[in-house]
Amino acid sequence: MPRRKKKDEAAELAGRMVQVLEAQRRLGSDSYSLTLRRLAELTDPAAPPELVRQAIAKRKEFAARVVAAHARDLDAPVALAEDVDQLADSPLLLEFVLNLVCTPDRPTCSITQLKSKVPTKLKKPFEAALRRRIEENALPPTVGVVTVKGPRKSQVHLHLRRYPLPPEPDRELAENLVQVLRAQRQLGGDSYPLLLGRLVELACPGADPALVKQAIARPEFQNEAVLALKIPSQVREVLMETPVALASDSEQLADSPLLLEAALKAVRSATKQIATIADLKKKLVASLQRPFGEAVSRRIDECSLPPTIGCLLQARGKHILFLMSDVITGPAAHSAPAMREEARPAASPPPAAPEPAAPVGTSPGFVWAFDQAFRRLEQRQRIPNFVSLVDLRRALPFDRATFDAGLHALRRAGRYTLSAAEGRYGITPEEQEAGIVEDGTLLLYVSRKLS
Amino acid sequence: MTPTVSPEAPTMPPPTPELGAFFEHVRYTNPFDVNRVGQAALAEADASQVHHAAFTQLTDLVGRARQQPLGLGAVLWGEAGIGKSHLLARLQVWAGRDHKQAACVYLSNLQAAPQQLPRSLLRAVVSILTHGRVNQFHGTLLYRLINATLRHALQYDGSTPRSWGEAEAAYHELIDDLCDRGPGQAAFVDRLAYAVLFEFFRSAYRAREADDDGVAALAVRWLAGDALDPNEARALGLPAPAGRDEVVALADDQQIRNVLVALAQVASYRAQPLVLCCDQVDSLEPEQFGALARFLHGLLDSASNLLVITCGLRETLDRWLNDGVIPTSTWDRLTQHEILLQRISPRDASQIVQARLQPFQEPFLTLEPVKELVQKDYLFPLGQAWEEEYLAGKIEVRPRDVINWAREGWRREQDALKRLGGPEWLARWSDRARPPIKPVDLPPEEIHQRIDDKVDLKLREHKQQRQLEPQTLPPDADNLAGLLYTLLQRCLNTSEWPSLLDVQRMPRPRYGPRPPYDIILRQRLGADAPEIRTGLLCLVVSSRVSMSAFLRRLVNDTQPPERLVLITEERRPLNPGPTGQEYLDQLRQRHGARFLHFNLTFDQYAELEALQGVVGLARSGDLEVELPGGRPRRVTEGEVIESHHRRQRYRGHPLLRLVLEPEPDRAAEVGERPALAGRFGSAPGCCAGAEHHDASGIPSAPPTPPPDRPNGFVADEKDLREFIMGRLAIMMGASSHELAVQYQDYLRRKQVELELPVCKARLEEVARKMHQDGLLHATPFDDNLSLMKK
Repeated sequence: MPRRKKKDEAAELAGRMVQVLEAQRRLGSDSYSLTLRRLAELTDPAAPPELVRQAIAKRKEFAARVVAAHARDLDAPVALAEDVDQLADSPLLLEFVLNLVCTPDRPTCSITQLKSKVPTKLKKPFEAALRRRIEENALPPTVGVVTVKGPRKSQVHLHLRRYPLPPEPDRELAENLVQVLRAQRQLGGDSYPLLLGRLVELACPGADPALVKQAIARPEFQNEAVLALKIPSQVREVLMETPVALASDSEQLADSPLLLEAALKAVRSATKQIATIADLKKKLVASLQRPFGEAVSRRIDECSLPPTIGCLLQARGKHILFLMSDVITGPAAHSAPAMREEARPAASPPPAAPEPAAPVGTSPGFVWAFDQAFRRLEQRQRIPNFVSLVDLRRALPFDRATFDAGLHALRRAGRYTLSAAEGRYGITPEEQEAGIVEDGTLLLYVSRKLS
Repeated sequence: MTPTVSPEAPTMPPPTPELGAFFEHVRYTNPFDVNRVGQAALAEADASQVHHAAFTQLTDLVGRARQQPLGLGAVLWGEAGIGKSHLLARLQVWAGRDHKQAACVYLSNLQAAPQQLPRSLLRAVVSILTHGRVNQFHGTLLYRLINATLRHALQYDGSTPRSWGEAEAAYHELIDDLCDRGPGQAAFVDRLAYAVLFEFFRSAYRAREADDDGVAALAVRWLAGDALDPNEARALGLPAPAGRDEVVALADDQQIRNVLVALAQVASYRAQPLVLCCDQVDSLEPEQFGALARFLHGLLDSASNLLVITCGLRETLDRWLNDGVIPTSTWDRLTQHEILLQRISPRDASQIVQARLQPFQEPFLTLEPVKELVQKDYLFPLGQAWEEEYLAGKIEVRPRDVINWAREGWRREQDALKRLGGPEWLARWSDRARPPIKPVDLPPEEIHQRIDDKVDLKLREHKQQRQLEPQTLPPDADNLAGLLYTLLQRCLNTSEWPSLLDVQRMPRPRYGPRPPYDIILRQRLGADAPEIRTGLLCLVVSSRVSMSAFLRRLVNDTQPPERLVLITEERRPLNPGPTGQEYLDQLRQRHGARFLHFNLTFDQYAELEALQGVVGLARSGDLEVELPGGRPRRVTEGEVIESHHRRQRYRGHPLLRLVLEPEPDRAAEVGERPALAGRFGSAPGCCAGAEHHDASGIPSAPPTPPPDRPNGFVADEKDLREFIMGRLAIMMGASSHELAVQYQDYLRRKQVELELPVCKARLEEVARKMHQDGLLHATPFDDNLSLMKK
């Protein structure tokens, strides 16, 4: 019996891959934007990668008919040879090349670096397409553009959004300040509004004053928060003694005893410790001046000034205000400064028994830190809303008892939920140690509670 | 023989319940026995508010799938016992028995090798859409889908009858339109698949009124990926193969995908998306899931009107994703929509308990003492004290734990009822002190014992589930071979089978002839004995040409193994044509006593599959034993396998024993047709008779022989059906054990004495049929069935 000619499986596969590519092209741009791997999957899902590589290498059947962003990488985008311009402009190609160049440690790269990674016949159209996209602000949503300051001139760099850029410390602080401000608002009572110094202490203890100045100047902060006092001197003490609240709470800030006290402190000097309402208003930012004046007048009328503030009626119905601590009296009144010191929000510890807005049994500091750590760790995972207690314990500087009590309170408040160690690959001693046993089950994963 | 109807049979109206019946109900039926609802049976009884948001998300996705140009992928995840399978079961209930909202196909425990998984999946889908039938297809979902397609094609309003010619022309026009919809659409429109669907409908339609020409059955086989003989292909209107000895079948995964695309497309004309629910995917081997995921990805990109729901544990899937088992693009496609189930609040937990209790309480609310107690304590007879004991102080709980705790509480009441007697139990119910159930640590032997017992119960439960829904386990050589390979591998390197040296799966090449065997075993029966090889072939085909080809490959093997085990399945028996018979004779001659043929019954197949199914349960974290105090203890995959060895379950299965114990006298088993143990009519006291086949192709039991018939009473199936319906009309739901006790008593009153196990076996057999007929809901649990009125 004559022997049949042995089939060239790779050539056969290559031919079919081209056919499938043509079919995908007919489906439209969404389907036509595909990688070599996807093309192979669509052609023959069971084809082993080695066979696919052999097929790709077939010059006659494949390489001559198509253009691929990389000859050996199965994740390289591919198109028919006549569609080279279309491929050059495809978001898939851009992402592929960015993936080749960028790493979490070096998340950005220049256009020149990107261009060097594409085959020769793609280089020119790729660069042209990329520059056009940058100009028209038409980059894919997964890709970002930043201006990087070089030694001589600034340069446009691109980056994959999934790799976080090196954080801008002032921006990060600005965002954190706003988040802590929101958390404090939930607490209410004496905790809000608060002095900027206290806010910085809660958000980033020991932050460099220069960084704080940069942070509060950033739009992330300016758009969300309001600092009550004008700060012409840029003196750190004045800055830190400035009451702050969310922009939406201007009325509340204007009426707060904290602001009245801060304004008086700003006005007073060694030789003059009294001020009229008009004097005080001059120290405030414009948006607060009118509501502040109204609020102080109302308090005077209702005799509801804070105990640390005194007021005297002068000729023509004018009121003068002063700090009670500036009043010189006999020995009985000497405790006043100490009293005032205790009442300073900046010096008071986080409330032992928080207001109902915070989960009972945990401190706002823990809540904030937990939220931050969870978010950070979640971003590293491929599966969302699923963070191991091992990682969370490692990320948070709390002892076990504080951590467990805090998490318990967060669960009770319906913020987070736990689930069991579940996989079939066993539990490591570290996981065993980090987990929480309830009803005989080891709970190991934390998720945000869905409604 | 026409059985006579007994005038005393409990027909409508149902009798009023009495207190005695209530006590019996409490004692024998624990509404919390079923703690895992994998099928639709109990899903509708449970609290609908629990996981409501997730359920709404699912139903919204079903709605959206109808409007999307491409399929939708969704992942449903959460820890074991959180209610994933329950939610899928609820989706099936919502879709309706008639699949009015969606054509839901529930898939789990696929066993085929990675490269054969797409075909195995298609086979399961087609089997479910056709209810596993081999004839009488007119009531099946597939029939309805094509019926709707034709109505759409004809713009049929029912006013004037249309000819078949008109229908066919309109149908083809519809397919042309499909191709014209988009430039890429045509690539996925397989005209052959649509033509076969049309032939299926025409044949099934005609079979309603006239004789069955068998074409619909051929169409189903082709659609399921099975081979057809040339004459069968011609009958179906398919192009005949080039050679006389060749068969016609779906050639590759592309064609398999196209059939599924066509099924999703015809479902759209009934305004229902095709929903594939792949449950417990984490119980698959990583390579299997990788292959399945890639295939489903391609399918989602090709089909419209399709929703694929993948269900599993996040931790396992995350690991596979990180290990590169699943390409990221595939993962992103399959998890396009995420539905996360989380632990529930104690308030929701109470709702679950209450929802399970309600149908239990309701029938007895006409009894004043029961009504009074229910009004006083809405959780009677479990009691709010139970709620306080188990739920107070908890932040969140797993639904399965709640059911387990309720079961513990109920058992405590059952013990008290037994100890005190009904009237006193009831009288003292409110103020009786209930000693708290304290956690006790058990020694390892006791834990082993509990694991063994639990695995035994789960094996029975798994088998019962397959018996209830035989279409979910279609005849499938790929699946059977994969299953056997997995089970035989577990016997390697064990003290139980020291003679077993190696189990080798024979890979099927992409091109060229397949190997003659599915599996090769190497064994050495003694220290000085020579090594022997055993070749296993799963020959599960209907096509005689195909069967001949399989046998020819065995004959042509120039280096045949010493032993040959040919495995067929009762729904695809060994039935070769003249050529095949010649090959078979040659094989018998060559191997002599070492040629073995095993015809696997459906029950044996289900038992075999259950061995691996329970391992899968453990992999998914769904297997737990209860320790004293209602504490769950998870059973691992390894512990299940150890338990299988401890209880000699591999040896206990006749096929595995035959394969693994190559004594010469095994030849006696050649061609043995194993008894239909456990099937109706085969229980002790009954005799086996001539073989009958039902619509599913499974040989059914012979008509029930009347036991004793004093006073002309015949305890036949009809009588038993009436008894079950009568009981459920009163009680809404009951365990098969409770009904068996009542049935025994019922028969005793008719002067018929039957042992309780016989009563139970018969009752369960009939209940299974009633479940398939849509008359009641049956859910297996442990070694019982939970039966509910529909």
